[in-house]
Amino acid sequence: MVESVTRRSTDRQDQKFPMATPVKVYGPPMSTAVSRVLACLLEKDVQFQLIPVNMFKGEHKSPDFLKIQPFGQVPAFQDESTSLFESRSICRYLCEKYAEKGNTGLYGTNPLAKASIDQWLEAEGQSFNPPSSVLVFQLAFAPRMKIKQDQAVINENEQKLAKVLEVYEKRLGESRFLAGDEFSLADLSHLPNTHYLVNASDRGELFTFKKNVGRWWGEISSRDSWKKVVEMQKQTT
Amino acid sequence: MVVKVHGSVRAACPQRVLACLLEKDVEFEIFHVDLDAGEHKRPEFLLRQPFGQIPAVEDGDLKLFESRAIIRYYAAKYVDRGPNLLGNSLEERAVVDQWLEVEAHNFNDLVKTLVFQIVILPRMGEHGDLALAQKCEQQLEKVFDIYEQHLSKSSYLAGDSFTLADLSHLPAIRYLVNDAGMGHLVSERKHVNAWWEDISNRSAWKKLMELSKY
Repeated sequence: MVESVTRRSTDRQDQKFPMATPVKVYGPPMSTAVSRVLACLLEKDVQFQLIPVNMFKGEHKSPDFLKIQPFGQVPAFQDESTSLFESRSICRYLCEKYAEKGNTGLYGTNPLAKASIDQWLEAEGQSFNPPSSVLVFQLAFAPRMKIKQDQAVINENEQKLAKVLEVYEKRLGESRFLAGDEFSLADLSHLPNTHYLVNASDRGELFTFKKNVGRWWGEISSRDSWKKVVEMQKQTT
Repeated sequence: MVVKVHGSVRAACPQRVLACLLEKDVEFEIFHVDLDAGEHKRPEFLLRQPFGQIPAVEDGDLKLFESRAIIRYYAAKYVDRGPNLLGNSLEERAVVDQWLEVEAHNFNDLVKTLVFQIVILPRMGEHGDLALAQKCEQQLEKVFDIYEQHLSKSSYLAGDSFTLADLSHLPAIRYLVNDAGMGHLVSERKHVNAWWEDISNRSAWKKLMELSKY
């Protein structure tokens, strides 16, 4: 459940003292790393407060923000006295801390399942994320920010991503989801970048023209949790 | 059960796994993969690691790749053996994981690119891109500044004890200091230097250096 920043209640008491939730996420929902955490929170049915960070104004580089994320990146995260950054570690933390809530199999229910999920989460982080992030920036964000696209960089990363997706195509022909038969953090971690490439660029066919990857994308992107994240992204643009 | 590690003992990612197994006193056997001969891109190897990268491990029925996934698995499996590489509570484990992710996303690529340009390409008889290497060096200076500030408040990355987060940095920093002539990144920073001296003098890491026969 989401505690949105805009309150609908007209009760003056409520407006003066908004309900505090211990879980806070700092960053704009349009950020791929922030939306990774939001998807996880929604899968786990954990209430949270989303605190905006205006990156266009450089808020993520302000001294106050650097105290909670010394690399000046989003998201930052707090759960009572626990402060964390790095979206994938926040996701793992949420799955461990709220193991009994929401999707209880998201990070596996035994060490072997967890190892497989970690393997594909690392594959996402090491092989999928670098080229897809570059393409997301070049194809989906640069035009909006009126930054000139670099065609050589686009071509280079498209080729890299295509090779990675060939591996995924084979894997997803053997397995319904990346780490096994159940949707997991490993699949979830791919949602943010893939969403932009499929919906906000002309390279969506990298995914949709592949039989197994296309099937997988259709399944994971139609989960309620992801649909809610996309709604949140739309509300803030 | 002896853990089979497929990879080269001198390559960074297999070293990450081997360092962890040595810390945990887990028996392993190295199956060398000849990168120069392109063994990692051959069909037989791709069955083990579909991205054509090292390492890949085999432990009975378990087959696993991605070094940081492998070390998470073994650090948890043998949590009660040897040093605790994970932290003592859920929150501490999360901080270990956080710095493991920092290494993976804010540190590793910069080192990999820099080492490729000024060490690997010249070894292959080719010219490295010095401008690109310099850019990586400048970015690494900023990353190390953040580490310096952090390590001034904390003996190790995730707290008072050596954990996976520190271990994960060992192979890349070795490359920087020993092969790439980038030791100044470490030695010019008091707390980073003390930390590096400490973690690189651990007996598990020294054993690995012996195995690697540098």
